Amino acid sequence: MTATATTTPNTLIARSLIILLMIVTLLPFLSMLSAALAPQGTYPNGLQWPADPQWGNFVRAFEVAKMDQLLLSSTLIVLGVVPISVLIATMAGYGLAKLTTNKYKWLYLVFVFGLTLPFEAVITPLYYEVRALGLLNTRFAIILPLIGLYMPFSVYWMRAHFLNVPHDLTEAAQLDGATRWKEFWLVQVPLARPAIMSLTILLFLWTWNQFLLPVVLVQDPMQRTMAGALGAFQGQWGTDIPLLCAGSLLILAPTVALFLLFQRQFVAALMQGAVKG
Amino acid sequence: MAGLTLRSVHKAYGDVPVIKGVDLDIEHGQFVVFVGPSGCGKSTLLRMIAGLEDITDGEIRIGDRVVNEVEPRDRGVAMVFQSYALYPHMSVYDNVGFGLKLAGTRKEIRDAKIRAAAKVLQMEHLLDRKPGQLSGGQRQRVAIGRAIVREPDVFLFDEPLSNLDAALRGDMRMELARLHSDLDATMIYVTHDQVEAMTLADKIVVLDGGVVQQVGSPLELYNKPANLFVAGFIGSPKMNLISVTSQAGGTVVSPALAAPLPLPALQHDLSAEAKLTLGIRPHDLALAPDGPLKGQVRLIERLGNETIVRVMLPGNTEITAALPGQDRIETGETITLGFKAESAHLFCEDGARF
Amino acid sequence: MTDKTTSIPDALPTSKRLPPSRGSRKTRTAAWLFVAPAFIAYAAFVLAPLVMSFYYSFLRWDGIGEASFHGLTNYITVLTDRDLLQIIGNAFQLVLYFTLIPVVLGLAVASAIRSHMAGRFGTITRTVLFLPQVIPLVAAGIAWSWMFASTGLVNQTLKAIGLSSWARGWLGDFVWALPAVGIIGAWVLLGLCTMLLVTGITKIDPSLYEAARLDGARPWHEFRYITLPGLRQEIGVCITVTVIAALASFDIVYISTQGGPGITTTVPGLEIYRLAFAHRQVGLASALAIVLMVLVLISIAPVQWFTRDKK
Repeated sequence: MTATATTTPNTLIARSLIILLMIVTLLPFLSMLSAALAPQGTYPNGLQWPADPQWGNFVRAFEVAKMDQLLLSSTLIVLGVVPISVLIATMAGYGLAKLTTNKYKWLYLVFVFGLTLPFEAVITPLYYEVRALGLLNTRFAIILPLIGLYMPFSVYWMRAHFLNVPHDLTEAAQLDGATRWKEFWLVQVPLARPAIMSLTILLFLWTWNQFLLPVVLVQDPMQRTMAGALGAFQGQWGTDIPLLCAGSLLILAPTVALFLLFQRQFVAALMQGAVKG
Repeated sequence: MAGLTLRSVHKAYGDVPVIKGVDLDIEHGQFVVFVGPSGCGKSTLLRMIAGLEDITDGEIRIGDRVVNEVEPRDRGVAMVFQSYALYPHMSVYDNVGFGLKLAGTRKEIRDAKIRAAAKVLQMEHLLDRKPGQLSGGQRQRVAIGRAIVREPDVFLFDEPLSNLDAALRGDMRMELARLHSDLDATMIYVTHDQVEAMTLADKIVVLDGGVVQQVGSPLELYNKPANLFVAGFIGSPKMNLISVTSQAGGTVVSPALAAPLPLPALQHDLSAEAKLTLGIRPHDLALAPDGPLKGQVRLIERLGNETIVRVMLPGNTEITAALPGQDRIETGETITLGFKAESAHLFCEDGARF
Repeated sequence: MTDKTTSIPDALPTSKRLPPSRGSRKTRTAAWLFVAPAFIAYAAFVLAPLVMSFYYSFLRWDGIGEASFHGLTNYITVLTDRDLLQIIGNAFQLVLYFTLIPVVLGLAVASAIRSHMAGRFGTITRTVLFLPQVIPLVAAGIAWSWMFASTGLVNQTLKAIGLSSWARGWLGDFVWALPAVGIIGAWVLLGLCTMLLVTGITKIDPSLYEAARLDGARPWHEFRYITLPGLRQEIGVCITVTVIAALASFDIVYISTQGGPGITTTVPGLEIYRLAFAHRQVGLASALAIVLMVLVLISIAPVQWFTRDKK
């Protein structure tokens, strides 16, 4: 009796708190939307539905920001980073979890050391390294360093998964005549699908939203990620609030759309990602 | 078609020795059971034969080939794991056929072999399922099927029944025995359960502390245990052990005994005052008014077909007797027990059979 | 006899779990081959630059001409220069906002709801609260720049409730710019922390609360003695994630204030970028980078210690 009596108001409080949080979360988006629909060149108010919504602002922002090229560029970068990162991290995770003794724990610790490393700590030498490789201002300037920078988390993540796979399966595969390579592809990878899926989602988001590397290593916004291009877009159109807001909304639309589509997977990945990271 | 030979096999993890020199000959077609308490090294020994553990020293031969350095997949062995170790993402069909597929066996041949194995194990209706949809007993069958299709020279079983409930365990035991006679293959089977060992084995290897304690047929082990460890391990309820001292003239005395006990086995041995252990199986005891063992009944378990009685002898020695039928003994009563001289086992002070 | 059986090395069951012939040469070769690609990528683009950062930090170098050895001067500058100290201090002030707001609010929601958010309401909540995690931080920065602008929603609200005198250009204000930046970070991290803590609290056995209530515990006691200890791990995760986000912040500041006005919102990440690429003081930038890395490590270490080890 007491339990129900005391939890009911609690639930009410909790719900109102959550609804308040949701409103706070959504307000910036709504405010941007209302500004994006204001007539060009005006100075709109914070949140005010315009009398005559200018949906055309989105078209103009799309053209001005060359959204099609940006989408292509971001996609190319993601395709360059994510599959390779996931593959080599899965291999390393398997190697570290299943093939090494405690004697090689240090190797794993070397990877883990990078988990808390701020990208800013290596950005300066990365610039000179990428320049020496002749890759400055190309998409590879973003792709190659990102693969390396993602390794600590990705390897840590995949190793944690493989540690939970019963060792008997490895031994059964060995007795069934599988080489390590075959065991990896035919037994381990299919079983690791959920972990690989989450890792893919996280790396996709982080790559798509990466800002520091494009800003430092790539001058041309058309070779950057979406987020990097947004920086340039703001620099150029920062004073035209309706255009800026329309452009920002367009630029954040792709990930939000994917997120809404795969809501469950994204939430799971982000939560686990935080816990394990 | 191959037997198996172990010569002075050792295993150590770092400085910790686990297998301390095992010699063993297993003939083709034998069903051999490694038995012992947990931690005795029986699983390690099996895994060394499989190639899943390195051999620190010594030699293992399968047929006439030394396999110390041979990869598990090339040893001609198949193993059934305690956890079954089925690949969760593959159907039963693919689980069973995985080894053949890796070996590059042609599809039609593969299919025929898988179906034949499924038929032998009566699991044809399960072939399309995933392991997650199977019961424990069914998984067990799949694990065995996976071993059968590879037509190995040696089958290895690592406590395969320990995850099943008691009733199913009995059924699978019979099935394994049938399989052994059908397949005419060498089988090595690890268990800590002496009933499995006694019922399945042609030959039992009792291990303790990384050392072979005795090798022999089930009845040899029961009738002539080589030492105190084997005596205590084989047989249920456990053999009663009474500390005694020998006397000149072939008798032994003990506070637990009502009178000096003449033992024919001792007659030719002249040494007196030797500390010995007298072993008598509970089933060899019977009520006898003039028997040497007299004590108070502490506990009675009535099983219907027999009555297990715990009796406290003088000198704080407790023994167990398994009396036939449904005796009307009551707790607290004083009873006298006797046994035939030939059913007494004698062990020296170092534990070896006298 | 029994002695003998129990004296069997206890190490056995654990070592039994070791993989097959892990020590063998073949397995070792395979291990290296599997790990090598990841390690090479990591070494080339993390370890090597890190070593270079360390090396640069002892140089006086404009990035183009001759470099000269500078000893510890760069580090001394980082740790004594008033501006740089203020910049590092800014990062720690941001921790207050980035960490405290999400954790406190998250705890409030979690201990109020104390059950799994099921059904449609749960799905909507999760979706909405995770939105800030999905969008680029840059977009969050732009959105909030607009919120904090002189005609933005914040001022609009203040005017609507009769606090016109409070209205100001928040991000251009010497006093309020840093808190405003902090609010942006809090907004980004709020949903994640809330969801982590709500999920965490559902794992606490509800009978603990009932037992406590029978023992006469007040709501505060329940929170103090059941909720907090039960959520230790989740709180640790939230603190770790948010502290790193605050100390290593770059995107939000770069977009919303460019570090201004003055250096009131400049953070180490932004300063490293400026020093290295605008002021051409590669040595000093690298020293600051190393200091930042160390600060993150020593800020996180105690959190990890308190929240994980005792389990």
